[in-house]
Amino acid sequence: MIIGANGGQLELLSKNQLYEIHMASLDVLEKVGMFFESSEVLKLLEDAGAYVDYKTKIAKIPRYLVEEAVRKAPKSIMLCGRNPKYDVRLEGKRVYIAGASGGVYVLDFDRKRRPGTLKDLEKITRLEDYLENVHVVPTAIVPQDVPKLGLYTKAYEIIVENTEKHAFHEAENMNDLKTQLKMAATVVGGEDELRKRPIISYINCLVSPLKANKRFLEILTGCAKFGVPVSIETDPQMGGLSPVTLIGTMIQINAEVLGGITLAQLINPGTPVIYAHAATTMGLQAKSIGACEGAPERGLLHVATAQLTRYYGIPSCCVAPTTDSKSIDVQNGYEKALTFLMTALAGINLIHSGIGMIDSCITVSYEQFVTDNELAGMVFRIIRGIEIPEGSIEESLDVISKVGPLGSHYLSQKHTKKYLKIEHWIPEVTVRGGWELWMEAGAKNTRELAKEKAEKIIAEHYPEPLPKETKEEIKRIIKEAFKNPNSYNH
Amino acid sequence: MNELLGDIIQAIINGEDEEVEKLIRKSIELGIEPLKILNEGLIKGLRILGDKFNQGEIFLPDLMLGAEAAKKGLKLIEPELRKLNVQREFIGTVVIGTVEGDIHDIGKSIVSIMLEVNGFKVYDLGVDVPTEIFVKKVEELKPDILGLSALLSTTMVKQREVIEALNKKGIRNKVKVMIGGAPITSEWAEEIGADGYAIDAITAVNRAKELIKVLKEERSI
Repeated sequence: MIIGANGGQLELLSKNQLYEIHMASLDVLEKVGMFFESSEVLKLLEDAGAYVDYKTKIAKIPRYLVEEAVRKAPKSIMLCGRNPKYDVRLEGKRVYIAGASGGVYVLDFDRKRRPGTLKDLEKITRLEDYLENVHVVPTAIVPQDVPKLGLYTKAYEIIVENTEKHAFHEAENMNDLKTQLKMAATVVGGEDELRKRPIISYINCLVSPLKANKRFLEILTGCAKFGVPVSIETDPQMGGLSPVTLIGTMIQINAEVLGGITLAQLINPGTPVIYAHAATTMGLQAKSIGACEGAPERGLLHVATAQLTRYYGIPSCCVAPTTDSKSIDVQNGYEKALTFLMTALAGINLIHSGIGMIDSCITVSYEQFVTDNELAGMVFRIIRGIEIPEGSIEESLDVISKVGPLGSHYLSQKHTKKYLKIEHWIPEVTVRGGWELWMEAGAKNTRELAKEKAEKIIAEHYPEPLPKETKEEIKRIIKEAFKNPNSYNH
Repeated sequence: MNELLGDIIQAIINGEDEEVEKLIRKSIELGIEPLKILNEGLIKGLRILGDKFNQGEIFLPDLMLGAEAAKKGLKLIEPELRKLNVQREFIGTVVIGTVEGDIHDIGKSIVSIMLEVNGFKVYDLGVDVPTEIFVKKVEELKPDILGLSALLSTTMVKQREVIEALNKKGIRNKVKVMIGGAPITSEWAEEIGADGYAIDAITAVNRAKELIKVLKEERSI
């Protein structure tokens, strides 16, 4: 089990302000309502007490339903690794990191951009399996070299083989979901075991403003009925898909996610739901239309989100470290550092879909995984804060007096050796030291050092393989599922 | 009189719909020729608005609100033009919508408004539009261009379906098909036999203008 460092040092909203956001979101659900693209779901909501218009597919959800659902949602969610040493528990102020998610292109070692492939997914999954600051592994690449049908099922085969960490995955429809859950059950030894030790969970996205499409509802229903953790994610771009203001967007996000949580708890009380969003500003100038992934406003939203989800007692998930830069450059560095640090200080439980990604989360770069892992180390060091355990002041006084004004250094003190690696973050690819030594070592910058490290990991690191019979069974499940491709898509 | 037309242009740039309506009513009352109000007021205003947007001087909400204001003004002018039996001229006609199974609207709406601003007649069919409706509207409205938007990798296959349906009906050569959406690439456009693909709204307008030229050449043969 990995124990996540505690974040949550940064809080910007008062209790009263949180309460006002909460009440406003309930108002939205009760008076404006949400669109649900399924008559079965609308019926379920109506039976529970919502006001449903089957023609517009809008359900107006009374506040007592929402508040009841929030109480039923688990406060703590285990995301299990294929290997238990990688289990994480999302709760409280603990911060964990999930890797890249949904990349379309790869910026290769030759610095050329090309469509990502299944082979890239395999290599990146192994890379993320190795990196110590990646705790959970999403689908880094949506492979462009395989047929669209059942793409995520094929991707899961690659992921479960190439990492022992938890898979934060996606499915396109109920058949896709069922096939993947069968595969995961084979790995852990049956469906009951999978419920106890979910080695897979799902990213599930709403459509802003205030819409749940068929795909979202199928995946939510499937996860809730089976009992695997599912994120309820909304991705508005401020000014385009949600109000332009931070407060307006926060109210909308909260209404959307609470709407999803309410439904999940109605389908199956106690469904483990993760409160998620990828909200950020929208570029509104001719040449920048689209999500501004590296925007400073994003970090502020994350602080509000972490405070709000702690108030609800529901685990949270937000997107970082992100950048809109097309290369590994200064903009990349400052956007990633700020979004990452803000999100960790906010205390978001699962920080995802940023590691390794550039180009507004469209492209992944092998070197970037290594530099982001490095940045994560710095961020974790910062949120660990200044530790003053019992006896530490006495120990400090003791060592200061030992050296004293007559001594010249602390290098030969046991105290120094004892605490060095605990207190100081130790870099791997960050350039430090003097100019001459740096020149002698080949005058390599971080990107070059990161490239060397990434190449080495990809060449050498293979996780514990799945047993041969499990692999065969997985292949059999996929073959069986794809036997009738026409029915698969429904 | 010219001052009034200048005020209309300014009101469009400022996105003040009520002001536009007020000024148009006033222009009509003063007896300014409706075609002149249209061309030297509303359409000129839209063109300036589009240019300012392309140059990064104004933002997307300015463009959208300006276009909305101009549309409201158009509603007042159209009856006057009809009385005189004059018709507004368009560069071309576009039918546009998001494919079946997909409820994403924003990208398609931006393209829609940009086309309108640039002098196209646009019929926006909305989102989650079934393939047969696209085909029906192509038969009925005889547009120059059909625009198909898809934001999901699972719904982009519907773009192919629409093109195949047009083929089946024997009307594929009557219309140029443009596709767009986040997962769409030029390779996909080529694979499904679309005529145009654009990465953003400005490129979409340029591509649409090119396709109109191509159509004109084809039709003149």
